[in-house]
Amino acid sequence: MDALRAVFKEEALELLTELEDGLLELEEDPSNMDVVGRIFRAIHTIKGSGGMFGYNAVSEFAHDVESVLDRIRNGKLTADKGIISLTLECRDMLDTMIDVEENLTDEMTAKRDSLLLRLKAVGGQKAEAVAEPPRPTPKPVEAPAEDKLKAGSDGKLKIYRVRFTPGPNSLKDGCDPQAILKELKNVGECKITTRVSSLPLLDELDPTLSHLSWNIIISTTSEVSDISDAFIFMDSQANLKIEKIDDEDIPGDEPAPRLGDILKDRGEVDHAAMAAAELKREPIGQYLAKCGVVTPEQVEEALVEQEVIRDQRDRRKVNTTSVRVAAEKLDYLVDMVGELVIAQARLTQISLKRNDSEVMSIAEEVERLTAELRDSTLGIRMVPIGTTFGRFRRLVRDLGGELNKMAELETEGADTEMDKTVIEQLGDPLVHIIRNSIDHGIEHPDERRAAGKPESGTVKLSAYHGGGCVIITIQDDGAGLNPEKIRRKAIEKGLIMPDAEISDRELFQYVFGAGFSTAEKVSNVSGRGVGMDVVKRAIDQLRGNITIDSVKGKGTTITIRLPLTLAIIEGLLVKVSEENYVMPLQVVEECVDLTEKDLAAAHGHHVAHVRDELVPYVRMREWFAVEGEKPPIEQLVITTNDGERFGFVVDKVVGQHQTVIKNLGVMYRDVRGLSGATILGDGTVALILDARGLAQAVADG
Amino acid sequence: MTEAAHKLDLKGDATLQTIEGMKREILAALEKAPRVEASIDGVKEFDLTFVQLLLSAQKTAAAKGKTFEVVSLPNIYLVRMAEELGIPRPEGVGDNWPW
Repeated sequence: MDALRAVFKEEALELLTELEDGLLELEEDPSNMDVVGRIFRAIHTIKGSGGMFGYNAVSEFAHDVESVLDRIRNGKLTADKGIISLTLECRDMLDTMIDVEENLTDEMTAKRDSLLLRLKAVGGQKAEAVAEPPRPTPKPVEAPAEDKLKAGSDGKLKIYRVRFTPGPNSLKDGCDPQAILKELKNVGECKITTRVSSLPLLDELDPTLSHLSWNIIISTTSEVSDISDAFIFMDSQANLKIEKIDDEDIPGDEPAPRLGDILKDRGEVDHAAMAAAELKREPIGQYLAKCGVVTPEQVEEALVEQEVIRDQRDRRKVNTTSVRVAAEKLDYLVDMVGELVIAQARLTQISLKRNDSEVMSIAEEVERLTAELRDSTLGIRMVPIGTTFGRFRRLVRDLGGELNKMAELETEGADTEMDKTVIEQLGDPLVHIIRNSIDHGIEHPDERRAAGKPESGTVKLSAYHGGGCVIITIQDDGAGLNPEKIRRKAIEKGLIMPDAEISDRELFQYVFGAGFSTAEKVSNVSGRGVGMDVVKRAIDQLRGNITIDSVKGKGTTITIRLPLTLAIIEGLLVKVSEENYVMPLQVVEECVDLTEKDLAAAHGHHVAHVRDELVPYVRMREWFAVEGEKPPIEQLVITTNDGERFGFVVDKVVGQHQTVIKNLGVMYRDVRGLSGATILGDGTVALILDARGLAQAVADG
Repeated sequence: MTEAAHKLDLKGDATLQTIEGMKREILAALEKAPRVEASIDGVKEFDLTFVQLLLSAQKTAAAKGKTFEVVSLPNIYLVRMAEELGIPRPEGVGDNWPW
């Protein structure tokens, strides 16, 4: 059951994200009924699955939210800003309820109750307030909700039809249908309809007798005995009938039964009446009700039954086309494929050594299959970055309100795919950046007006593929960074000399320093100088880089470059003496010879003259203190980073190499210029260079 | 000119023990006027018999070509009870269902 509840939680969080996205979309376009339908379905599913997996409070609360959305769907309520805000608050409450496993604190309960009252106020009448209501007579204490997968249950989802008519004296006997129905909701998701047709007119009504009966369609993994347990306190004259009408063994693509068949199965029409009705062009239910063969209530009950069956079968259909897999299993698969890539590299190397054409042909086949397997495995982990965009839309909306600013979020490239792990770790840094953009970047509406800008600011979040990596930009049209202010702060902190000549772009990088904030006011949103250094560290950990461009008065653009995946990279294998190093291919621009003549021309400086441009370089032999003699002609591997060229002098360039990244141990974590290690085909270890970090380390001395 | 609605102020308990009296009140009001507007703000306690009574009152009024309407603000407990019982919205009853 824990596993099932975990699946529910995962699914519910996705649905809550969908709900949030939909609500924000609806705020912009309140008449978009497609969006209303989408958010209605999301909340409806949370309600249904919640009930099925024992989250009864979640299910009940979702039901109240659903009622409001239903009124919007039926055109009885307009989705204005107030309703959207209320529904967003309810969405957050559902999130909390699921998170704390329904163990709400007093504060949470108070918040939920106040939301409930507000929901009722918009769900019921036009009135703004809800009167202090008379309370119903207290009922016997309800039995605690039990785990719905009881012993003896086969765990399969089934649908039951339950028909319940209390005896006439049931109310006098203390039988409480409301308590029974509540108990039944603990067994599964219920669709309840009440028959009121047998209720007499006032003059004939004995109000102390029971005149109502119930039809309940219940979806549950429990058995008949669990359902009948709920009726243990019904009176002796009551009538109860429980029938199974659908289960998981019936495939999802089988259509739901026809209305006429349901009515026949319920014993409400006979064969002859059905045969007559089938000859008519009218809908069967309508025709049978018109002829008085069945009552409109009976048709309604059959329709509910049909809808529930159809719903469940549709869900089964979806379940057969996609499979939910735990992320850890996927990570393990990627690890295994990584090991396979290493083993395959060894096989290729050995086959080349032996010069055996048969082994070579097998090795080639294995190489091809491994590459295919690697691509498809990594492909499974790729998810569109748009899945995280939704939360930013909400962030911009809420922050705008909190800071009395007007801001809109524009997104682009939501379909851009990235490794799931990268996307997960990217969320927090992006939140920091967007918070900063709105808090410090976007000006108040009057300031913007005075500056000739539209009152509402824009934060644009884009993602696209470029040069083997994903580039994410966060662009705002706010006030921009103030280079003078940053320079003063950097001087004050002793980071640069007062007379240092430094470009704005380099200056802006200081914003990523720990404790570096030029904000005059510290808000609860940002401005403590905590955040941007954390952002930088997070991006570094993802083997990405981050840069800032800003024009005072016009806005700021933050650009993040990230690798497509954290597991495997295309690299250039180089050698210094017997040591192997791998450089990420995406930063390598070219390789040139570095002769004794070139060295002499540089007069001892570590710069090379390449195509009329001076390129600074580092001698890897010296930097990593590798022993041995250097060859007469060395190789200069030139890399580019943000337009800056930097070279690495090595003994030999071996060639392109696909590299499975292994993390370095704790001992090497702080060594600058290294991002990991890998095992080569012959079993030796190669260090993976962080070209940018190494260049920076060299520059810093 | 339409006749003014008869205002009916239902008060006290509306439970198994007291419901008969409340039924008589509603019946009398419906006999007097073609339109009855009932307030339930003064109802202290209620149970299922009260829901049955209100439904029957609406059904009776409709059968006699009259109107019986609850004009109070929504009562959260009554709303909850009606929802839990799956009580359908009676024909002709508008937005204020279930009262």
